[in-house]
Amino acid sequence: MIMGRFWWLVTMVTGTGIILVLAGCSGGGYSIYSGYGYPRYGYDLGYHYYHDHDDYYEDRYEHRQEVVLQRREERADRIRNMSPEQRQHLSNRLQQTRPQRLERRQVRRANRPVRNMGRPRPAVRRR
Amino acid sequence: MLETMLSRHGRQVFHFSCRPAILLVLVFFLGGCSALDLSGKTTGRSFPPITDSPTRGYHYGKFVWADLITPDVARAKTFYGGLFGWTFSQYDRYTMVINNGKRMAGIVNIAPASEKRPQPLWLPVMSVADVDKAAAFVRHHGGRILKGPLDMRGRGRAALVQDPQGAELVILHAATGDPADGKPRIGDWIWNEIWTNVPEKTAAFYSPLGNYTSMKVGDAYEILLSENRWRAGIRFIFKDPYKVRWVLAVRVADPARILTRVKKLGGTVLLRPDEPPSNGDTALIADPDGALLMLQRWPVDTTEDVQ
Repeated sequence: MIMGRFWWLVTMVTGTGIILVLAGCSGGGYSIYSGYGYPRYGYDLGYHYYHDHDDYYEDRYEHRQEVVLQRREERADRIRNMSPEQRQHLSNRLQQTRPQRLERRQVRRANRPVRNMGRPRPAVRRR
Repeated sequence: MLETMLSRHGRQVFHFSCRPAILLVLVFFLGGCSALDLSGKTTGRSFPPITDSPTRGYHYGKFVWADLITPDVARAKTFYGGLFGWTFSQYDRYTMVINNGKRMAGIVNIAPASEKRPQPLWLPVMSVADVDKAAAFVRHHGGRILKGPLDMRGRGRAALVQDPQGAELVILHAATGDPADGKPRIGDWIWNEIWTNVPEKTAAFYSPLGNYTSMKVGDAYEILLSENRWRAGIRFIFKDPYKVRWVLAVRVADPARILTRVKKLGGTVLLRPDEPPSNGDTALIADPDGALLMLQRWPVDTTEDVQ
């Protein structure tokens, strides 16, 4: 009996619901991802898996691939040509956080021998 | 002339035969006067003045002279003559050092086993307006008077003093005036600096003594100025291998190259120019008897006057 009296209301609510669901599925413009199709979204996610910007650009800008490869070779050469001390220094450095590096630098500066023997150079007067 | 002096108004006072005797008496009288100690405190010997000709000008606070105290003057002459081309002139027992025809220092002999001054050293000589007042200042502010004040005949009034930290120097009011300010040539003095581990105390002591103003250069150096000219430096030594002392610097063309000659002449190289604390232009050496001396290169084209 109730259904018979309010059939028009049930029809309106159900119809509006169906229209809204259809609009949402078609990417109608309310989602944060609206306007982005799946391939683009997936590509941007892929960027986060790269730690090296060169590699990122390598994928993104294929026309720079030669430059990127050359840089990678140079970097490898540099490391290969390092003395054991330099290699150790690099290794230590990569294992340090930035605050640790800054602290070590300050300690080095404080311990640096002072070169203060003899008449100062005239340049100091211009300070 | 003597005859004219003795005869007034044309009247002959003494007979002609008396004149030789009067002359002799006068000669002895004048000689006695010159030997008389009129000041009450005068050194017996005479010393050469610190300038070639009287200047009558004074630059208080300036280091106007230096004396080397050494047990072997002959060895010192061989060493410094060979190293810098200095020449020497003998004044009684005092040896005067000459560089490029200009007098610049002296060498004084001390007994090798002298307990008073066991270590040979270069003593800087600072010009002061009043030696007695300056000596009183030194005594009053914790320093010591090692000798004087006394009149060094020909040189001026001087005192050998020790600052509160133990560095020795001479204060002098020169009889003929101080040397004029000018640019140092190769072989001349270019700098004096005091090495101290208490730079604030040292600056507080020397600033009134030499009437200095001061200028800091970094954390570990201070320049003392008088008449708006750099006169000396206070160098902060963190560790103290050489004790508190004044160290003088001679201008050389190339400190690194001259070091080979130092060794050949019997001296010791204590610091090469590339070793800290040298600033790259200085070297520290010791002469054969152990007196320290700094060698410093100085730019030829500098517009700055030194001392």
